[in-house]
Amino acid sequence: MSKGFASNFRLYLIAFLILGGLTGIGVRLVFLHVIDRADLLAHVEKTRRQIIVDNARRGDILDANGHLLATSRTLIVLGVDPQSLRPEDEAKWPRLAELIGMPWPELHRVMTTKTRGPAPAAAAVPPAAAGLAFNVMPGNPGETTDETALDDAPDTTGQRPIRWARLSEGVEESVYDQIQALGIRGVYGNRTYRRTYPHNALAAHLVGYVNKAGEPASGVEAYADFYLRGQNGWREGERDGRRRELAQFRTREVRPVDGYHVFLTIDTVVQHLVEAELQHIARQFRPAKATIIVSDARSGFILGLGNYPSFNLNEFNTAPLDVQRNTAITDQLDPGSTFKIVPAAGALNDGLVTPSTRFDCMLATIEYKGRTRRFIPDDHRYDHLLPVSEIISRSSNIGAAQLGMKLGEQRLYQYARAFGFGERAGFPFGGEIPGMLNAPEQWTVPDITRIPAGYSVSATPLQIHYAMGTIASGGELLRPQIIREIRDASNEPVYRFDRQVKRRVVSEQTARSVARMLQGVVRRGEGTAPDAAIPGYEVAGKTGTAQKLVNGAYSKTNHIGSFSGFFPASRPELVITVIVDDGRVPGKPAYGSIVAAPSFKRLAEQLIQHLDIKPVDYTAGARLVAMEGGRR
Amino acid sequence: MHKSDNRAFVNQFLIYSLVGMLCFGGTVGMGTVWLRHQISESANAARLVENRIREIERHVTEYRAEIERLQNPAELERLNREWRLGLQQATPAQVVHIDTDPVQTLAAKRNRELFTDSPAAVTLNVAFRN
Repeated sequence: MSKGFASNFRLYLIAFLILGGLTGIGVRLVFLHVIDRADLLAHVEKTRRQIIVDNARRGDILDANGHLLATSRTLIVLGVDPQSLRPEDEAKWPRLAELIGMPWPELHRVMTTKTRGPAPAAAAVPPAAAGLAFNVMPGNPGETTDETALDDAPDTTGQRPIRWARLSEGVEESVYDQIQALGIRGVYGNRTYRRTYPHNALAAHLVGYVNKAGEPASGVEAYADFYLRGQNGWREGERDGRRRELAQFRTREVRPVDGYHVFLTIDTVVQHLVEAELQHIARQFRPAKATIIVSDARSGFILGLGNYPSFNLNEFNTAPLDVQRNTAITDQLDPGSTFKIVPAAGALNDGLVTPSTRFDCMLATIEYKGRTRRFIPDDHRYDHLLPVSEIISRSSNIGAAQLGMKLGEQRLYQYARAFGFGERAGFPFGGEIPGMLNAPEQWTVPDITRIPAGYSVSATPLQIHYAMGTIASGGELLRPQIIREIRDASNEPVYRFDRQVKRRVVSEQTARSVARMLQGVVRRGEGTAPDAAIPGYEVAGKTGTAQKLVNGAYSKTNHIGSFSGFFPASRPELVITVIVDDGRVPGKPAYGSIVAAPSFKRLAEQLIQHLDIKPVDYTAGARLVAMEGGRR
Repeated sequence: MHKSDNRAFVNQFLIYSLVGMLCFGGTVGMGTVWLRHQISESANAARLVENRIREIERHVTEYRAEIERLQNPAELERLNREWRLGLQQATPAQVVHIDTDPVQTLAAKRNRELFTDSPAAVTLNVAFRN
């Protein structure tokens, strides 16, 4: 063999040692990779591998001017791994209990409970048998997954070591910083998004809410959930002994896609004014319910919609379900005299009458189709025959019934349907009902005198509003819309909603004629609602007072008072409807002219300022004033 | 040692090669470890930056929600009452609508004042409502 500088013995020794070492390594590798493979793999997967869920941020709900109505903020779900607690940290536990507002005995119990009983059969699958056992770490293990999901495998007695026990569901970021500063090993939190409503009760029936389980329960939250919710992401990787992610070992990653933002048509200020007026009505008349709707006369977009009573979105769990109903679309009522625009517009549109056609409104009965029909009596006696314009402005039941008879049952029904009565207005969410409008075949004998006056027909406040909106828009029935635009997380428009016309109901000329007649309603000495007049502005509207059905009979003490109108009459910009259900007025019935018309005026005056609505002819009747330095 | 012997030279060459390979392998190994360490450092640094960005975004969202809460009209009205500011919304009667361009009107008024000895009495066509 070699005659080199090393002896053969040494060479053999080195070769033997190297070979022996390699053999030892080989044997160990066989144990690690073949014999103990399954156990070790399960252990490694359990302790190191993890899938972290990245929660997508739910999109915001904003008003037309970009004010936040609903947004998502982070809160920390705090928990403890009792296996990791150190005895030297026990002195800090009382401070922890104080920070999270948990009774000390309760916290002590959670911290010292190390195991729990056997899991249900379905969950008691050993990690090895269940294949790869990843630690799925969602954004909020305390909320979205079972607490027991992170438990270790059960021991021989079936007891499972607890690896996650919830301490608090919602810890603020600043409090969490203090908890982290305590340095208690084993206490850690996971961030989750929670819905918050900065304006509390504002537009509660429109915005809706997301419940504690993260499910959208009502309003835009539920309707636009497809756009709002986004898509959660996840990443697969490893973590170290301190549960920190080892970013270099990320193997797969799917980024979360945040939800889209939904821009509503409502204006926060308009909505606030609506709700402030509802509060005023509630204080003054103590009604059972009240509704105010404000919409854009040209587009049909809802600018404000409020109901009384209402509730705080941030405390939805304390509000009765009855209060959470959007009564503007879920409750029906007799529209009363606000319905009189239907026979009047219909008869005008069909050329059966003109605004100056006169009717005898002092009759008690009339012959119609061979039978004597009794009118609903008017509140006033008239000393002359009333033209159609006065039938509207004085709200004559007898005159309206005669207009209905001119049209006949079928045409009256067709016009009522065309104005939107008896069918859903198309409000996108909230359980809208169609109201009640029977087909002529189902009418009883008195119906031809009652329906034109707004009885024997039921409608939602929204239907009454959009029927008036039909006159304001020039004869077209518009679809009520609440969502203006959808934008993605980077604020780029995704979809924009525009004005939608459901149908043309009457000609533009007829609508203008009716609008002129409706102006008489607010004229002092002529109409029923002079309190709705706004100096300098042409206001058109109609009062309504309907007796409520109590125990199957029309009550003489319980009324629904309403006023629905728009302005400026010759160039309508806003439609406002005020409905007060069962208001209390000392000594007299709660007529629409008393409980609703003044609210219309107060609200309109404020909206004129906020929306900068100018009178149609603001130089007419004005006197000149000098302007000095921009001041009057 | 028989350095002139060919086989001895081969042995010596093998030893040097082995040492050289060990050094090279060690260097490559150390380099790989260093590289992996650097990768892990960079990945963790990136993770920290990501976390920081998310934290800032969280704070932005929180502040935005808080600002919105403070801008709530009901909250502003409450502050108006509490601080006795006496702020009230104008009524239509207090507002004058001008039917001409206010910029041009004010400019004309200002120019008249500049080019006359005494301030001009300016009368504008503005509407006044009671």
